[in-house]
Amino acid sequence: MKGKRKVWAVCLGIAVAAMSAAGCASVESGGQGPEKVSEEKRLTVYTSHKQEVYAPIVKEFEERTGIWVEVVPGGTTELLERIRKEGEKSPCDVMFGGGVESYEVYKDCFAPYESTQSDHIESIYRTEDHAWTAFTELPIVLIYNNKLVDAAAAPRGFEDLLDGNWDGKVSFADPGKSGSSCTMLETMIQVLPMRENEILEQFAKVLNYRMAAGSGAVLDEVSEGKYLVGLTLEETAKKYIDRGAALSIVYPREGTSAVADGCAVIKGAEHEENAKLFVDFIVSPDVQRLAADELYRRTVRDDIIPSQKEEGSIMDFDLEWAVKNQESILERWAALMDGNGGGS
Amino acid sequence: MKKFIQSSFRRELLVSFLAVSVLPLIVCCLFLIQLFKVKVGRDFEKKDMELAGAVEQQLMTLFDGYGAAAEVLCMDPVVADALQNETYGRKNEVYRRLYSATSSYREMAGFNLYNPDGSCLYSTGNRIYGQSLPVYWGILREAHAHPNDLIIRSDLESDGDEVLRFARAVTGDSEECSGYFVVTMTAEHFAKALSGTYSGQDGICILNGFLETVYSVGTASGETVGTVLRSRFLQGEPLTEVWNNNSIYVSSLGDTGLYSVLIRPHVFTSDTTRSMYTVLIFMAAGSFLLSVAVAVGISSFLSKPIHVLHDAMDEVQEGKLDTHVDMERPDEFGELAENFNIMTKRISSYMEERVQREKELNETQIAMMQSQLNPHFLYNTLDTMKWVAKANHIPEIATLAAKLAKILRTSISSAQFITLREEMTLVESYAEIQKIRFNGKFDFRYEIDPETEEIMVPKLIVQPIVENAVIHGLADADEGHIFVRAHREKAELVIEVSDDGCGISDDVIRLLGNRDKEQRKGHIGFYNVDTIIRLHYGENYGLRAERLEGGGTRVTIRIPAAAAETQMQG
Repeated sequence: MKGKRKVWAVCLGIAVAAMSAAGCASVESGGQGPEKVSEEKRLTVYTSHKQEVYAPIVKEFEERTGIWVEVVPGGTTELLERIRKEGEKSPCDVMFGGGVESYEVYKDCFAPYESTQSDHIESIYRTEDHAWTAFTELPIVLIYNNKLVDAAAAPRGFEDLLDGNWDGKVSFADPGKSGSSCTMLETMIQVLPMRENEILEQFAKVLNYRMAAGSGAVLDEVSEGKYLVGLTLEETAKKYIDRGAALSIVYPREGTSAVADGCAVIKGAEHEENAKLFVDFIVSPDVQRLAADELYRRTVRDDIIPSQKEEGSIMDFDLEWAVKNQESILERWAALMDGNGGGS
Repeated sequence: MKKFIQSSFRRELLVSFLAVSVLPLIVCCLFLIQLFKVKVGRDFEKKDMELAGAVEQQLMTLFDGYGAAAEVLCMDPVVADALQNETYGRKNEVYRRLYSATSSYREMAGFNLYNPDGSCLYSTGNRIYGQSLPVYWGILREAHAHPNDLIIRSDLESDGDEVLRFARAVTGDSEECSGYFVVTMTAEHFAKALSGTYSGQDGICILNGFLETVYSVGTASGETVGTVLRSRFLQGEPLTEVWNNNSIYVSSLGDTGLYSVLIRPHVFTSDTTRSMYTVLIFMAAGSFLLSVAVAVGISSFLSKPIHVLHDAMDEVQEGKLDTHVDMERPDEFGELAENFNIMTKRISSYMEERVQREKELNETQIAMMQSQLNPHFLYNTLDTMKWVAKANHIPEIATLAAKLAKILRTSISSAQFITLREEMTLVESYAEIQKIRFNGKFDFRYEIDPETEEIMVPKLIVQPIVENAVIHGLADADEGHIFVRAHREKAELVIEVSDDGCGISDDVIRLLGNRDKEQRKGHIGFYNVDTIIRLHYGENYGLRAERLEGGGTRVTIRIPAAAAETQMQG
């Protein structure tokens, strides 16, 4: 009996040896990689910017600081909701991108931080509670297809859009989906002398109760000649023009709003110091100049002179009012569109 | 399970065969597979490492060439002059210098000269890569900060393509930065630089210091490998774990801060391993079947004779003693069958003998039972005779009948032991009869100690001695005396029978001492008594006969008194 057990033990031993040999065999690749990254050299950024915007900035940040940045891209609302849901345990250290009116809504998720650069940031983008820091401003502009529309006949402002000449020829993104579209409606309400309802009803009529699927679609529709005029952001319009699209920009003569997009340190961030470094970095002169020169954005600093002249007049947009009324405006707009058999 | 196996010879055999065939096969195969894997894996790894080294070598040679070109151009005062002055007259001279410094590498990169504002003034390419580069940003900023170093950076072109840039500040013979020498490697350039180092199955990926993809080709194309490695690295996982059945080799490219990653198909894909194991399983199954077949064969070869013998034994157990096993085998089983046959034959003959003997015994018993009727009848007859004699006033017959009846009663009683007193009464009766028979020629007396009267003795141990004395001792005498005396000697009962006859012969005394049954003719009673005593009490007790000085014989019976009593109680 004992002998038998011994035999089994030997067999088992051999089997184990064979298995361990298998274990050795599986590690076959080789070479040497970089050293391990310590926690002090990490940063997680949630961003709603497009890659062409965040990639060079993040890359330069990495190169200059040696901090490894993990980027989680997504939509503004999606990411802010996620941060709220994840709460204290959120891996996110810093939120980058998205209009500051959205940041106002999610203020409770942010750790107040006053950037070291705040002295050079234009006063309208400075907040008392320092919940967020403005990155760039994005003016709203009109665009028209310059092959189909003569420069002289083109609309000069928001009011011109409503004069009946452009009914069914205007492309506008669904404000329920695009934050900038929402800002456009709010801008029109603030800038035009008419009553709120009147503006919304007239504009809905101009659109023929139809909206473009997204902000990108507006540019495509106008440049392709499907629609003649569109409302979009200066940044997007310039980018398209640089790529050769047959578009021209009109800065509304009533003045236009330029709602900033923001950046904020998340409350309870694991890498808070790095997050602050990042916020300082994006409002630093170098990044601001890059944003103005290469990314078609407008700087929020008062000490940067962009290589191209900034056109158009920027009105004083009432952000507080916009945040407060956003929901009701959107509801009314949706009702108008639905009620007239609209939709996209 | 164990019980189940051990309950059958065949299963035990099967398990043993499995243990000696399938198990070693599996273990050996596993060993071989693992050994093979390790060995081949190592060989391939070595080869792969060499390849990775070649890639690294090729790139490093190239980068060193860029460095040398940068060294020449950046120190050239003509170039420095030309970059500071956009309307420089000797543009061809600058181009000549640019082309001659970069002649060996122009297929592998684009070489550009930028003025201090970051505008490209001279380029070897057909189109100028990046009309201008920001000097406050990225690589030119770095080159400006470190004017004597060749700065290496991965960069994004405005159209989104990843490129690798090398830049160095052009200083001429002064310390001042008069412009920048920039080398740009696009994917196209990398493809040329690396052509011939990898085969179609491989992939090469160049990563920057943050493990971001700069260039990828072959199986590594797309940004996946870089993304995978970067996420592995950030998660703290080993970089070189097998990925998509590919081995990954990471080597850093000198002090450039870049990494080259070689992707080679993993030698042992899960497919090959699986097929090896499949072969192993088939082999194991084959040897299992073989084991089963051999176990069945051997067990039936061995168990068939055992079954035959087993059945035959069952038949014998049931009483069929004429069972015969036919087994024409020369081996041990044949012998066993032969022995079995002999055994049954012996048993049956023995049984026949037994039956015969039993039969005889039964006959004897029947005869004995038949003869048992006689004593009672005789006794009753004797009793009748006594009364008939008394009635007819023939006192001798009455006495003879009465005494004979008395003797008969004692002798036919079933008790083996009687008291000494009873024995002596019997002896007295016997003597009375003999006295009448011999016409009163002798006289019989006895004397026993009262304490010995109740001692139990075997029946008829004194009578044969007295009979012997009457028949042999006093046969020729005219007048004789027989005296019986009994007393206790310590724990022994001693009974002496003495007569004054002719005396016992020496032969008889000797024979009695020898206890030789065969030669005791004529004195059967004597020897019977001796034998009875010995059987009851052991060799230390028995008869002793001696001739007396003054003529006559004395026979002494010696038995244990206590033993006799115990006997009675028992």
